[in-house]
Amino acid sequence: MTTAPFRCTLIALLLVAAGPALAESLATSASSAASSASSAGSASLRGSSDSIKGSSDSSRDGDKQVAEGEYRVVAVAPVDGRSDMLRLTLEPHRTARAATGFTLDLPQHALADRPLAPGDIVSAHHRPYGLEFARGNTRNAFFLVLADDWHRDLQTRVITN
Amino acid sequence: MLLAIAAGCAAPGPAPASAQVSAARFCDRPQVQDAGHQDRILRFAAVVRQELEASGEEIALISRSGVDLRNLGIRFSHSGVSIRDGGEVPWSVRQLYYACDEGRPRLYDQGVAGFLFNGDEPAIAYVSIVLLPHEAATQLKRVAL
Repeated sequence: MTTAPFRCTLIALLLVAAGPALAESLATSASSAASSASSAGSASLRGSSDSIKGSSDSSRDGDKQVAEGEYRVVAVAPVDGRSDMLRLTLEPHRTARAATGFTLDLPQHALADRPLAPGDIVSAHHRPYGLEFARGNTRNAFFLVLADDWHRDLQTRVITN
Repeated sequence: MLLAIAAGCAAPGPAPASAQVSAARFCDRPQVQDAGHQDRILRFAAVVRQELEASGEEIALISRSGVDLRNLGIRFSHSGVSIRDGGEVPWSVRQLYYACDEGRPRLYDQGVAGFLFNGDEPAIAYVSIVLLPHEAATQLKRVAL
């Protein structure tokens, strides 16, 4: 008798230990359990469809429109009707290709106690899941924009009641 | 609030008292993740997605580290059944979670990123993917769906 062997893949990720300098974005949740639902609602994560809007009249908004590179903050303002949200208006500073400005909406808590101000530089990096935004001076990520399919990846669906 | 405590697709029932006490310990743990940590986990999830996609299979057993069980000689604390095109995501992970709010286990589906997102140990993470022989895979898929 022969048996078909199973195959096993082991993948390890070594995460650089997060020191105090990295702990600038808000914790995922103030609650205690390991909850993916809370991850999806994290202050430092958001879907692209409700985060990024082009400042031009281009036909498509969202993460695919944003070129990699550095952007200058030209305005920081509250989002109308959302006292917990900020809108950053960003203009290209040094980008890999021709880029246009855009606005980025994010929870105030994503910036923790280090607010951004006009003149500050932030960088945008393309990631498999969408975009990573980091502070220009420290390179530390402060906000992630997820493509819609990745946003769904974080949702939790109950199978049984 | 959810906490994964067991592997596979066992039918959920009332948790034994000892399990509830153990789960309560983990339910009380704070979960702190900054954007840099989340970025690394999501990129790791992309690699895992690629491995699953490259397997050519429809179903796999997937496990991850998360809760530090090294004192028990155990690396993987969370396991589930990963299914291609499971629901609204490319690969879903069906798993038994402990619902902290309700004090009982439930079956849930998440994407790969959701499955990896709540590790307890930020310094290092492991994932194991086990691909089954065809007959076993077919049986598992029939049961899981």
